Amino acid sequence: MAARATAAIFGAYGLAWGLAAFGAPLGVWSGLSPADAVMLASLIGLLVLPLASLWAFAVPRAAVGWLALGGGGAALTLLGGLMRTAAP
Amino acid sequence: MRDALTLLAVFALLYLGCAALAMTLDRHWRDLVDRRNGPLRRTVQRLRLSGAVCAAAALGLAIQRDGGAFGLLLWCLALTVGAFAVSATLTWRTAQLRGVQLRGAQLRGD
Amino acid sequence: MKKTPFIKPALRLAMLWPHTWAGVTLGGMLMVIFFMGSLSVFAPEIDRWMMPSTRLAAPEGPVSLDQAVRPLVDRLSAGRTVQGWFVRLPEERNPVLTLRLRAEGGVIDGVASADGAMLPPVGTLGASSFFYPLHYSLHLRMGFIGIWIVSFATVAMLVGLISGVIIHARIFKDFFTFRSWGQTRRSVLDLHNLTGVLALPFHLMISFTGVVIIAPIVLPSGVNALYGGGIEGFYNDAIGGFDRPRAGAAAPLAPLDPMVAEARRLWGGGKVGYVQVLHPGDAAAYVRVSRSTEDRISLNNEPVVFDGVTGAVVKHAPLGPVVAAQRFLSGLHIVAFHHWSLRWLYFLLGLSGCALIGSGLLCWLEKRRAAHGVRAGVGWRVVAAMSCATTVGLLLATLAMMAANRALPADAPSRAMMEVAVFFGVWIASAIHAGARSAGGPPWRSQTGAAAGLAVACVALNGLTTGDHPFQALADGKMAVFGVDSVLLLTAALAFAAALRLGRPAKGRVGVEEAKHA
Repeated sequence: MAARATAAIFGAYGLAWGLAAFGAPLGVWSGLSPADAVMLASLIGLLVLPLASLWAFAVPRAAVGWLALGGGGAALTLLGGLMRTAAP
Repeated sequence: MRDALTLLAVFALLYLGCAALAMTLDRHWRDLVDRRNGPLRRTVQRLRLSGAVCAAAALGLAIQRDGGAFGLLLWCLALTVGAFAVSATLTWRTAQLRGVQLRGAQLRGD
Repeated sequence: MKKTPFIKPALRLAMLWPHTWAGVTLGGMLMVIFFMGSLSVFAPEIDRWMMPSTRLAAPEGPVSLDQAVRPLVDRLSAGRTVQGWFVRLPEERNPVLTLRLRAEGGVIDGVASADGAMLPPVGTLGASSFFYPLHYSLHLRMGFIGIWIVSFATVAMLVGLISGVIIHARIFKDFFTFRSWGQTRRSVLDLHNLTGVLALPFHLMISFTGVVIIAPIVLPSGVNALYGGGIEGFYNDAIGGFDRPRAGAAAPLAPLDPMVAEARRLWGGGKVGYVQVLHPGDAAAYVRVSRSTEDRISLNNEPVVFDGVTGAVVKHAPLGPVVAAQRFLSGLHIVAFHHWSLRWLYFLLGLSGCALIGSGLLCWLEKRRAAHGVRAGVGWRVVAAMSCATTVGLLLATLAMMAANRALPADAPSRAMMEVAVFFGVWIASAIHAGARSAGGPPWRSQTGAAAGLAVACVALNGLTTGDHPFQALADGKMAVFGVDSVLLLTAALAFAAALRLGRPAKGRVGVEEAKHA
C-alpha cells in the first residue's frame, strides 16, 4: 500500500507536472499566446491529477502505476524541454 | 417583488421536480404510496416527464431573472437545495408513517 | 442474461482504501478549510459585525479620488515619501475607503468613511484578514507553504469525491434516502451519502475551482517552461500586470478622476473597484484602475494602466480566452459578485461540505467501534479527538474569537493579536479536552452545549457594547449586523437542540452497550 500511496501522491503529481511542462510549449507551437498556453496546460494537469491519483490504486500492480505515472511525467517533462530548445 | 416571486417559483418548481423523481424510486413509492406494489412503468414515465418539465421551467425562469451565467448557476445550486428539501420531506413523512404503523401494531398487540 | 455492472466490483474495492484514508488523515484539515470557506462567503458582513465603527450606510454616488482620497493619503503619509498607495473604494457590502500606503519606514493602513473622514483603527483582523486567510493558507505564509498544504488537501477532496461516487453502489436508488430512525451507524452513512451525492456538483466545482485559482503556483512547470520560473512575469503577461522602476526625477501626479472616467469609458460602464498609484511624484509614476467585479461571475477586473504624469493610457489588454476562462472559474469560487440568493446557497452548500466530511469521519469511528467493541485503540482515540476538535472545537474557537472581539476594550493594546490568541487558545483547549475524554467517545455534548452558550453571548455582547441588538440593527437597516446576529442565534438553537439530543441514549449506542454485557 505504501508503494501505491506514494505513486498516487508523487507519481500523479509528476504526471501533472509533465503535462503542464509539455503542454505549455505545445500550446505555443499550436498558436496560443504563452499565457493562454501555460494556463491551459496547468488546468489540464490539475484535471488529470486526481484521476491519475485514483488510477494508481486501481491498477493491478503498484509497480506499473509508478512506472506509468512517474515515467510518463519524466518523459513529458523531457519532451517539453526538447521542444523549447528546438523552437525557441 | 417580481424578482422575489420568480426566485420562489424557481425553488418551488425544482422542489416539485425532485419530488416527482423521488416518487419514481421504488423505496419511496412503497414507503409513502403503496407498500405492496411498486409504481407502474407508465406512472414512472409520467413522473419523470413532469419532473423534467418542472426543471426546464425553473431553468427558463432563472435565466430570465438573472441572465445566462448567473441563472444557470442559480439553477444548479437551487436544484441541490430542492433535492435536499425533498429528502427531508421524505424522511419526515416516512418516519411519521412508520410511527403510526408501529403504534397501530402495538395497539393490536403484535 | 447476466448484466455486467458498469463499475466492476474490483474497482469499487480498490477505491475504498484511498477514500477511507484520504478522509481519515485529511478530514480534519478539510473541515477547517470548508468551514472557514463558508464563513468567508460572508466575510464583509462579519467584518461589519467585528468592526462596529465601519457599520455605515452605502455611499450614494461615486467617490472623488482627487477630492476625498488624495487628501487622506497626504494625511496618512504625514510628510514621508510614499512609494505607492492603494485604495479600495466603498460599496454596499464594504462601505469604507480602505487605504494602504507603502512609505519609507513601512506600510501604513487606514480606514475612512466614504466622505473622507478617517475612522479609528479597527483593532481586529476580522473575517477578511483572519477567517479568509485561514481558509486558503492556514496562515502559513512563508514560501506559499500553507497554500501548498491546502491545495494538497483539496486534491485529496477531489480524490475522495470521485472515489466515493465509484464506491457508492446504489447511487440512484439511494438518491434521496435519509433514514433518521434505527441505527446511528446507518443514519450517519445515509447522511454521508446524501450530502455527497446531492451536493456533488457543488463540491466538485468548489474543490476544482479552488485549485484553479492558484494553478500556476501549485503546478509551476508550465510557468517555468515559458517564463523562466518568474511567476510575476507570468501574471504581468496574463492578467494585465504592469511594472516600471522609478525614474528619479520629480513630476507632479496628474488628476485621477479623469483617468477613472476614461477607464469607465473603456469598460463601457461599470464601477471602479480599486485604484493603485505607484511612484507618485516621480516622472515614472503610473496608476492602475481596476473594475469592480460585483456584476459578473468572472474575476476579470479589466485593469487599465495610466501614465501618472500625462494621464495617457499605458496598458489596457484584453485577456486571452483560456486566461479569461480561468478568471471565470476563479470567480465561481470566490463569489465576489453581488447576488444574495447565490451567496446564501454557497454558504449552505459549503456547510453541507462540512456535513459530508464530518459524517464521513463519524462513519469511520462508528464502524471501528462496532468492529473492535469497546476497547478503543490509540488510533481511534486520536481520530475521535480530532473529529471533535475540528468540528465543534472549531465552532467554539470561532465563537470565542467573536465574543472576545466584542468583550475586549476598544483601546486594548494589540487587541487584534489578543483575539487571535483567544481563537487558538480555545481551539487547543477543546482539542485537549476532546483528547482526554475520548475513550468512550468524544465530549460532543458538553462542547456543543458550550457553543450554544457562546453564540448567545456573542449576540448579547454585541447588543451591549454597540447598542445594535438585532431589532435595532433591523430598524437601522444594518442588515449585515442583523444577519450575523440571526445566524448566531440559529447556531445557538441548533447547538442547544443537538446537545439535548446527544444527552438521550441513542439506539445505536445501546447495541454497543449490549455487546459489552454479552
